[in-house]
Amino acid sequence: MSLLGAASQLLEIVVALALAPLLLGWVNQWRAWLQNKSAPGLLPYRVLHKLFHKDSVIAERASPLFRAAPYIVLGCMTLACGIIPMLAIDLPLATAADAIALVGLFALARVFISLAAMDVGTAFGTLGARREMLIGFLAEPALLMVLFTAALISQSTSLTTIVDTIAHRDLAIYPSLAFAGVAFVMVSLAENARVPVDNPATHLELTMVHEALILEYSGRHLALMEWAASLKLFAYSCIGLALFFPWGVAEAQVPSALLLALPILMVKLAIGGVLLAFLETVSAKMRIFRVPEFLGTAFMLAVIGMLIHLLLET
Amino acid sequence: MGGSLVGQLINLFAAVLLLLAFAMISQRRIISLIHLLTMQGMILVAATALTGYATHQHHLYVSAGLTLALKVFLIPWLLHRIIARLNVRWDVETLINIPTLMLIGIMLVIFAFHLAQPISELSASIARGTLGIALACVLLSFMMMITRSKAVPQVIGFLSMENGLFFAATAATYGMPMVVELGIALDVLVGILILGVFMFQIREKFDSLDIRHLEKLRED
Amino acid sequence: MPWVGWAVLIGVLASAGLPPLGGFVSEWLLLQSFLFTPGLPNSFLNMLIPVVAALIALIAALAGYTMVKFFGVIFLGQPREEKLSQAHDAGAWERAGMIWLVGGCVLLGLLPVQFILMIDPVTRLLVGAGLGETVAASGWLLAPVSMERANYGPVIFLAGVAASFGLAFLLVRRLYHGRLRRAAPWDCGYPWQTSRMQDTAEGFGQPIRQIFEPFFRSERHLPSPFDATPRYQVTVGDHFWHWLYLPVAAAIERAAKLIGLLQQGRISVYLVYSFVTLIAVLVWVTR
Repeated sequence: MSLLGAASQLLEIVVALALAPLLLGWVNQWRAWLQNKSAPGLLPYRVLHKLFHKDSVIAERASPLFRAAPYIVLGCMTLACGIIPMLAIDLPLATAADAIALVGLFALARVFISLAAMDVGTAFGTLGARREMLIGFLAEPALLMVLFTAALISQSTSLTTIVDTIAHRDLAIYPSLAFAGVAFVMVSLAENARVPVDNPATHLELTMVHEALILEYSGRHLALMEWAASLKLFAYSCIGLALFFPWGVAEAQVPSALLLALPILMVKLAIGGVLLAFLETVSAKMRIFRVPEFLGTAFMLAVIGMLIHLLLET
Repeated sequence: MGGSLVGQLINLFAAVLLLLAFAMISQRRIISLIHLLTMQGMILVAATALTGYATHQHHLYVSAGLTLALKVFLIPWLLHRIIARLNVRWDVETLINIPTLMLIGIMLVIFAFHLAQPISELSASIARGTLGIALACVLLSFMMMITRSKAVPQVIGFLSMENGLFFAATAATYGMPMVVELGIALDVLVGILILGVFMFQIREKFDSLDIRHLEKLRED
Repeated sequence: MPWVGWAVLIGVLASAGLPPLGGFVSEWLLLQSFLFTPGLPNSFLNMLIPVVAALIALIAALAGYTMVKFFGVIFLGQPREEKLSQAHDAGAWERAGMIWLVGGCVLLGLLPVQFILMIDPVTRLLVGAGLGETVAASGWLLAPVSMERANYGPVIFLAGVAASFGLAFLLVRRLYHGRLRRAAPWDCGYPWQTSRMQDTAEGFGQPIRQIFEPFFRSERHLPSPFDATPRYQVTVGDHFWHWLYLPVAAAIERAAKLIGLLQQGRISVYLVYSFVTLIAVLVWVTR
């Protein structure tokens, strides 16, 4: 483990923690603009600050699991951001987990957040947990298949090797990545509770999924959950960028490349955020029983991506 | 690997064509189906022109131009007119169990790829890998025709099937002879006109475009 | 029941195939083997590999759903039955019975390399090849083929999550405060929560049944809005039962009935059978 590797690892986690609320704010800002509303872009930071200051109020019958879940979820998301090569390829933590373990990490966070929602035993908590697990159970294999398509191309499930291979190819076009890309967009919309699947802005009881999960949280616990949610969005955006637009990630072992990679990442994320806001504005939220269809389609597309790879690219 | 950049581009077009075929299966709205069909036509034009450029087969340019005029402009325009006059522009079809359809679709794709493997190994064309995809497109469109119960989506399925055949011909053998191609183009056009008339007839007779009404015609 | 609860939680996480516990290691190895299966001779089988891998991924995800349902319905929420108020935690020996299982889950998850080395002779005997040497070369990381191909380090993984957990906990306490207040649950403001308002196991699993409806023979009886005593009933059956076992059972029954015709209960009839058999055998022998 080189010193620079450790430094880039640290920088990556700090950048993720610091920028994740900004990305969420940016997406919401654009959504507001596109809908002719006005919104302050730095709102997520203020919300976090305010929530951290407040007393945490939890239900009388909440168990320690309920109090530990926000920290666990945040820990999972931080580690996920640490192993995705968004700034540099030389990451010491990346040896801990490959693409499959990354999916497992997201699953771990999802299981804990659902268990915490069921802990208090309210009607909405269990409703949220049930829906979240329903979405997760279909989205998780689809995400895995998307990552597998990339893994087949680079003959490795290690994320750093995947990014290295895809960034260094000499202008090869992979049709399988087109399928994987469409599937990935669908999965990340569902996983991050964005519009066609869940509306992040609603507290309308019958339609909420993610908000129902964290309904019983308040104060610092809620702040941690919100932060973890924005980190998840950040992580997913970075997976997308790493798989489909990996150019600009620092490969050389020099600090200047690392410093150059940061603004490039921010520009890419900014563009991605605008696209996400646009996508959310033009689509309508679907009924909960359409969601399996939506995610089933994503799953199938990812599988077809793998098949196409076998047919055309070997 | 496809080798040259052109080969890779054609592979990409083939993949997009398959993507569109799957999108058609899961699309409920008639108007979106027509948009998808138009996009399929555009991909065909691009693929044909590219093949022509890569292999210096100039008659492929003519065929690309013909496709452009017919499948990108004329047929979508006709379809738009038909659905406007039939007043089914915003019709939504009830489709059951899209995941199951997708599952069958994947099986079809595997079958088609498997079928095309030995054939494409014989072929020397730059886009030999795409034959399997073209075959899969044909099969998927066929399945779409089976699952639809309204007249207009069925016609669209038919047209999309023809697109798949056309792509197979271009990819595997650099296009059919000009005469055959012209003939097919004319056939499709006439077919669309006849089917248009047909749809009006169905509507007048049964007050609906649901072709299940045709089942009443059988002898009991 | 904190002891039972926490022990079962770890077991549940392991069986849901979540890192860094035991179940995930085997899931990971299985997916790896599918992903990098070298080209099979038959192109059709080759094409089936991604489909089967997809199926495995789907099953793993479904296991997560099931385990959340299991743990959530049994251990979380308000007590769903009267008797649960008399429940008490496990005794010392009962705890020991669970702790060694929990230890197995955790150790299998954290030290996969050592365990693979232990079972390596067995795989060598069975298939003539083993992972032992390549795995041992990479030390604490699990890397079946090579480091560039795939690797998984459960210890680092656990340390990463635990470190961010601890840091977050400390920083929140240090920079802000740790004040906590207990109150009635919020639940969008509805004050009278009873245990019947939670999901039952039936309700929690309902979406899955809805998605996979073609695979089951389920019959539902929904109450009408005017029922004074509403009842909800679902019977879930298996297609195989109807298509395979029931026809086989019917065929056997029919055969048994035919044989039953032979049984008349009169001794002379049985003697006739023996006599006819004897004659038949004699005829067959002398032929």
